[in-house]
Amino acid sequence: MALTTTPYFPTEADVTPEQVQPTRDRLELRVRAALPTVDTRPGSVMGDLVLSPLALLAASMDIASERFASDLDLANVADGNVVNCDMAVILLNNLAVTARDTLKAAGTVTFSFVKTYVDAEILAGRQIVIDANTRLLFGGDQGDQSNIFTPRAPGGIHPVVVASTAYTGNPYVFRDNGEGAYEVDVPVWGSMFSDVEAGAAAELDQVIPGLTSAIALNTFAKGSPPQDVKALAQRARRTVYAASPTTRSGAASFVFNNFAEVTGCSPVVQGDPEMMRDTLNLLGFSDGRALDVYVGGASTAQGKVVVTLPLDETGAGLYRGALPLGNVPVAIDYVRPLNWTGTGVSADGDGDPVYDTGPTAGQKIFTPGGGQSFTISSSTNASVGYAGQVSRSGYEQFYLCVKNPNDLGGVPAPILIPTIVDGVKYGVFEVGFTYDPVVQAVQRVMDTSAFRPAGVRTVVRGFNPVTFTKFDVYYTRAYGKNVNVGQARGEIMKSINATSYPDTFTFSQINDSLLFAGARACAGVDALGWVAASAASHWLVEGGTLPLTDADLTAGLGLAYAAVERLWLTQETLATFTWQSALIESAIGPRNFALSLSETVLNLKQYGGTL
Amino acid sequence: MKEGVKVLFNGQPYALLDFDKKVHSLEATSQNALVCLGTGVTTDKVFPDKGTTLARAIAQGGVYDSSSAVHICNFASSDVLFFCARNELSENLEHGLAQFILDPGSRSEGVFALASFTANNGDRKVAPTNF
Repeated sequence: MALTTTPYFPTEADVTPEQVQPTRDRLELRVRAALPTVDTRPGSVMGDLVLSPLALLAASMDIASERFASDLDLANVADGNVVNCDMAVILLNNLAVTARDTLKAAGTVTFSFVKTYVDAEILAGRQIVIDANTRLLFGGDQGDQSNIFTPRAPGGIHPVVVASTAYTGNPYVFRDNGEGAYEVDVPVWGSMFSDVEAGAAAELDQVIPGLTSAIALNTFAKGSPPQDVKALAQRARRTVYAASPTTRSGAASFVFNNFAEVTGCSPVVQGDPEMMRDTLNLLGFSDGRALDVYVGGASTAQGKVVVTLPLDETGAGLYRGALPLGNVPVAIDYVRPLNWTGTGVSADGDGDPVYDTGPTAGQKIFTPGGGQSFTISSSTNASVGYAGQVSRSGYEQFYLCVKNPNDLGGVPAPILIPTIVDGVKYGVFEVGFTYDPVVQAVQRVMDTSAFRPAGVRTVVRGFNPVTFTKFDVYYTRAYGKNVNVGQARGEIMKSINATSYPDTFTFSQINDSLLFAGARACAGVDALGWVAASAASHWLVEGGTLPLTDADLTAGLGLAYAAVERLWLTQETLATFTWQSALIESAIGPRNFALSLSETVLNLKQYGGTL
Repeated sequence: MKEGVKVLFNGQPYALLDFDKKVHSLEATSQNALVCLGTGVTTDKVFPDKGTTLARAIAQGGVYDSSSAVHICNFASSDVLFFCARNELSENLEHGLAQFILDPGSRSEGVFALASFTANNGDRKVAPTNF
């Protein structure tokens, strides 16, 4: 019978009596109503030779119909429940979703140029250009199986050199690495057949004058070629139902659909406690819908930049100027003067000046927190938001102030040796920072006219990291069983560092890691961490101006320059933590923080004896 | 009163349908019961509880003396009685099966047992069966 050949029609073995009997009952009722004297009981001719086979057929058709409807519901297909793959593929093709739509592999490449060459070119009025069609080859020529990438920037990349004075953001800004090279990070995408690890060198198919190297900054994400119907359906659901960057779910879908390297994405919309850009304007109207898209990648990178800051010699003196990092920093790790001397002061292992004696002996004097340098967070575009409203985004601009330490009344002090150009004294500082390359990569795409949604003010931001200073995990061990502590540590690190909204910190994720490593159970976690809304040390409060003199800075601390608070959390307060500041219009909550745990902080401790 | 098509059980491996003849009342009920008696249990897709192990027991040599025959027949008649009672139609209760006895005591050439049917209204019918 033709029906039995269709993929939806069940075999007799697939149909249960429980499915057939109700159908037979309904048929029997109809026969009894129309022909009351006809014997339809089991064993009768009408019952066994007509009603029962008919009921079996009708029940089979019911099942076939249910299966067909199931294939029409892409939610089922996306879950892997597919009856007829051919039918599902036809349906998906009708939604314009085909297996050719792959999510490309992606990563970030650091291009290094000879500094003197770039300076000369710019002085001559020429631009450095990285063509959008430049092909970067990783891992040698493997023919069709090569790892080939191109810059993810329509129109190419035109990086600029930024002076230490204020600048308005070109997304591609050279960093001076202090070693005779300018560096710029460029997101790339393409096809990948073997792993591209951080530090891998690329070969280019064309010559870029002045270029010395193109190195993978992070381990590239593989992308996700949808090869099966399930993956296609998942893409279709995201694309058709949600992937428009105007809503919470749409923005998340858009990001996950377009950026293989993004591992966490949490859009924050008006009404969320973490949204601080939904205030009314002077006329009492909302400026339109605001959307903060928090994104995070699998790993962070270390960067450094050398800046030359002019010295204002008024009073004690202050080196100050813009700090062009070219990326959105997770943390500013150190500020290091490159030319200094002093008495009672010596260089530590990193070359940073530290006091030889006294209560602060050994402490880095110029690193944030050391008392001599201040990083002030401001906004490059007040119409998008003030400092606290755009921190950890490409709109956040840093201003570095270093107090001139030469006049400390005779106490031991480092002496910064300024460089004098045209009678103006400059200090040279190296600033090291940690950053997540995906934040700029996503912003550069979402901020183009092709993707910027009308009527929605979107800002792509990095998660506020909860940095743990203590993370003690207590576990119990069964008698005679060994716990693979190294494995447990690795699993816990991986699990914690991948946690961002909608995932939250849970004991079960630690418990799972411990059980997997052979422990009996997790007996408890004693954690302490802090989170801050910016990598800077201070905010530029709305209406304030950046300090030009030491007196400005001293007078403004705590007023125009409010300290960036470190908010402390424990394992109990993590899940419910929310913080808002009306002064700097900033907020932190579960939707915009992510967990950050370092190897040195994690301690696994056996609780009591064996059980 | 339910009417059905006459089924001819003539000792062949198959039954014949005689569409010119109708059965009704206890005769229809007893005919259904005989179909149930000859059906192997779990072989019906719609009613897996319909049938007995009688035919299989005979085919596999399970009936080797009068005692085993009585034993098998008692189980089979009990299964049939309960199945027919469970599936009796509400408007036909008076012609439903009240008692079914399968007696192998009078086995002879061409006869395995005598089937005795009693309806709820007291009607009674006896028929020889063979397998």
